Amino acid sequence: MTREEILQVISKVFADTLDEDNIVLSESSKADDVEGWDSLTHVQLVVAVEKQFKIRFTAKEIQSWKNVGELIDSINSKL
Amino acid sequence: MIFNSIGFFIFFAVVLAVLYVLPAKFRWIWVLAGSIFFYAFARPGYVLVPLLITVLTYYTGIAIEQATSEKGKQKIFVAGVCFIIAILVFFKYANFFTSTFTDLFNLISGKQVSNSLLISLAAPLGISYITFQAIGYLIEIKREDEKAERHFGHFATYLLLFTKVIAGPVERAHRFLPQLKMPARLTYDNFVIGGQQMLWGLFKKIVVADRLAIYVGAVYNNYTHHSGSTLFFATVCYVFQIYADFSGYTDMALGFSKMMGYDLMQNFNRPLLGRSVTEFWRRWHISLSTWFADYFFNPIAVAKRDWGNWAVIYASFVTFTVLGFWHGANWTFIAFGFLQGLILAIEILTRKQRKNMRKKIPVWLNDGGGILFTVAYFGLSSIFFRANSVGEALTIIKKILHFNGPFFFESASLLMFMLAGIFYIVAHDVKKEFFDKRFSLAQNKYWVIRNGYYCLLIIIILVTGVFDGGEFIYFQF
Repeated sequence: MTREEILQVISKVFADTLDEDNIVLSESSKADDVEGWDSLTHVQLVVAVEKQFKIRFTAKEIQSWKNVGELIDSINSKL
Repeated sequence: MIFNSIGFFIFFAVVLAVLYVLPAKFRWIWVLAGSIFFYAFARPGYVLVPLLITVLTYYTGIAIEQATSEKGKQKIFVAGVCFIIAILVFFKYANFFTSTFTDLFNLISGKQVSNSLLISLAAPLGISYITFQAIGYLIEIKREDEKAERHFGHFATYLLLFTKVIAGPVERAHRFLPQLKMPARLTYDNFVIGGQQMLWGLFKKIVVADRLAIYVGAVYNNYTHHSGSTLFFATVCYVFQIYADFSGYTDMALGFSKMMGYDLMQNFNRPLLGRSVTEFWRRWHISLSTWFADYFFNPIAVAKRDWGNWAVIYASFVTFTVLGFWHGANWTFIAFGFLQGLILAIEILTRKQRKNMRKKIPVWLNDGGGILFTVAYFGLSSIFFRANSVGEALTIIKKILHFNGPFFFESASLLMFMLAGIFYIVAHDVKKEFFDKRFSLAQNKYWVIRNGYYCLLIIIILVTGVFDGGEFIYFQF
């Protein structure tokens, strides 16, 4: 998968999990930029992404992400 | 020396004046010296405690960074954090634990043993705020997100800065330390903006909070003699008292810091206008709630994420119970924290339903209802926060639910001042929340109107301020 394809899949996962139809993610998106993405929903998003790609992140990886681009890095390294 | 005392204003004026003439490179020395003097002023011996934490944290940070293996890092980190927590527990919680243990022993054995381990030491001021900042700093280094500071003076200035040492904000090292290494920021703009924020905080503290405190204290300290309607009104007043007191303190802390050229993190964002309790906690004591989110809630929720929604609920309960306990070694605070965990769990579980409901009703009704509920729930929780025991809190709630009896107020003028204060705080926040771009007195483009507003604020402070109102509520935590 290309980074662009991964981004599209993540956007869909975020939209479904947060129940927000008009989520537009970019590689530089952070929690503050996305409606409904906060510390309470963060874990739900992580679980949804893990399920979608059938991968498992380490706690260290989850803590290290600064933006969506770094999340894509982690996903890429596991596919 | 508290912010709203003449003594502090003289102290600050001296610190600031000297700061302006010192070369930028040496300013931290003066700020640090001022901070140590400020801390030692009340009880000189106690300054050794924060100094010990400072030295310990500084060297632990470097040791974690220098450790070659992951295991070594972990060991040093755990040892350092345990030592810091041990200091906090010793001063703040030792009496709670030994008393609870003695009570339990008496209950089981049927004997009447008194607690012989009671410590008669008062907790050093701001000990928990210093502890949080120290632990947060070590976690960042352990996670390799930040580098360990190699300038002891700068690090000590960060941890002991007198404008935040007693009641926060819980500033992050990596936000603050770079400011000490930047060129001088003692500008006219910083002085004016900081001064304005400080004035607004002083207004909230001595015009609003301390006047409400007179009434709330009179009612709550004699709650058995008061009716349900009086207790209800006193609880509403307490919500605004604690908000005006703590956000007033924070505005003063941020304002004084800004005048010295330092930016501290925002701690309040109109919390009483949160549309849910979840949102309330994103707006109230932000520096502490984000600290707990980053270093407590998230790691727990991530570790248990296979539990689905229950992971978040479990993490909420644990986090808020600990957060409640942080406020003080009393079951009332644990009850306060438990109530927050409970409502957050409910809000998480009903998120989708609430969202669907929102689509069906007008925005104003949804927002208004959400705000009312949030304030009411915070009011309910704050009864536990204010009461001396859980039993007392429950009696007060029972009385409020009956809502009868005569309504007590000391004098018409006190009542009028209280209501005016509450009205002004609400009007200020509502204006900022919903009509921020509209007309503003405080930020008016005309010099005369802007400064006229602040002159009026000073006059109101001088004429109607309560000058013997005493400490800020959050100093005790």
